Amino acid sequence: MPYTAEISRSNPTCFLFLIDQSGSMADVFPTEGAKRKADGVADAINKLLQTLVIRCAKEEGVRDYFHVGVIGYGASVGPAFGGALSGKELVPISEIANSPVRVEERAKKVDDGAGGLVDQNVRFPIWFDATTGGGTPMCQALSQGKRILQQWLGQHSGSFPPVVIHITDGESTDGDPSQAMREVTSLSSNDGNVLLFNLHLSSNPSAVSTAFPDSSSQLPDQFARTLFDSASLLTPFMRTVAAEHGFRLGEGAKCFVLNAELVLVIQALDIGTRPSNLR
Amino acid sequence: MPKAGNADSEYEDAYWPRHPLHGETCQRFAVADGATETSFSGIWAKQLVRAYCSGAFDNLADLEWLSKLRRKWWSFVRKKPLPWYSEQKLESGTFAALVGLTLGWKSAESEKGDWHAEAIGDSCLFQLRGSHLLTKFPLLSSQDFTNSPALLSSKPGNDSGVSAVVSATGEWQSGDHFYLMTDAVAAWFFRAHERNEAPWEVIRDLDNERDHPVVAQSGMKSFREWVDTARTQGLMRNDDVTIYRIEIV
Repeated sequence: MPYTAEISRSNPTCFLFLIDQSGSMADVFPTEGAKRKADGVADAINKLLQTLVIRCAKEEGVRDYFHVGVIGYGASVGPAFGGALSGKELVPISEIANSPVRVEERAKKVDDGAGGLVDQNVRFPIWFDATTGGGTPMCQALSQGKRILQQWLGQHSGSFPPVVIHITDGESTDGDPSQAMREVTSLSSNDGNVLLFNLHLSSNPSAVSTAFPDSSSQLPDQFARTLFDSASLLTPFMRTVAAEHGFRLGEGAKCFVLNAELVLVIQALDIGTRPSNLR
Repeated sequence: MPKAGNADSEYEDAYWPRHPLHGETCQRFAVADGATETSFSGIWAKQLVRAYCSGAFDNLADLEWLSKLRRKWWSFVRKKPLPWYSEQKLESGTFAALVGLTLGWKSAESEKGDWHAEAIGDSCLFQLRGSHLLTKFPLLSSQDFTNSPALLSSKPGNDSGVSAVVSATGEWQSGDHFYLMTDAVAAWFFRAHERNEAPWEVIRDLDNERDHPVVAQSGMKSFREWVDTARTQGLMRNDDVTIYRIEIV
């Protein structure tokens, strides 16, 4: 049965993030105050990296259950980690744990024990900074992702298949990405094909968000249908996690969200990266 | 034994006592299973089984006892400075399942007596008389295992698992066997029994002295060999495995 491989230090899996950094990502989320989409995504990715590190932390250190890469595309296409990880495509999670660019103090609302909330300062490691500019060379980013995964799968043929999380707010400016997406999802390990999430961010306050649809019939345009068609089906375990988040999904629910606000992006990141079989 | 691919030092189950005493009028036994996705869970499991067997509290749901044990766990894990990720992981504490058995004797010569068991989560107790499986506790079938069993938390105030503590009582007689098991092997036991097999016969024939010369000569399978084979054949999930075998003679 596919998507059941054990994830262990000797058989790690891989998460690859493809992040749109085009000029339009400097716009704010329509309903999230003054938060720029690029900043919201950077926060979500940094928070997720932190979660992945903590998930792999054991008393003796961080276990390398995951190899992680972040590829940005906009004015240029390439690895987007900062600091000591600059230029690296896929990095074992223990190396990520020990190499944040900096650690910021952020305020977090916590229970004050008297029915209210108070701000508490928490440490927030940063590995990836927002940057925006240029067009949307989606095909080039996908083909770079394919090359990275092909190489990784050559060394990890028994792995739980890599999960690619592609976050974008607009249409490709270097051609139809359908073929490049098919090439990514046609890669496989012995446990199944690479899983592709297409997370589309909202640009228009009147746009209705759609989460994990099982049909393209309600989608507004060809671009949305392309992202839907190219996205993978959610695995049974991902469906369980989605149900925990309160989503009621159809049989053929896909790894696709349209016009997402930040909360939906964060939920989708959790659904895509929660391991089912960690050893 | 630990999960395949892990070192012995990474075993996060626990059992107690290491060497049962003979001739006591009350004996306690326990196994516990520390949660894999948390840190310092093996220590928590060890502290739980030792505390249960010390008889220091009336029941597992005793919050005063639990508070003391939690303080002990926190003082252990705080002994040395930790990197940021370990600190943040500790914020959610750790968790363990536990099953404990207390056997009572009316006198040293008794051939009958009472037992009392307590459990939280999916570590299981089985009582066998001859070839009759008399007791299954707290789970009753292989269908009862879930991905999120109730567990005892090491975090002060996280008492949601406490309400899930269950207990049972019964009688034992000379010749009975009790088995305490953590979840992966307990699930195997249930499945074999549901296929009308006699899984206790397999366990009875195992020897836990891996390199013992008698075992090697007799052709008996060592515990480790048997678990390895069961895992390879897909009969047992790759998890820490603990079986505590108690035979009343």
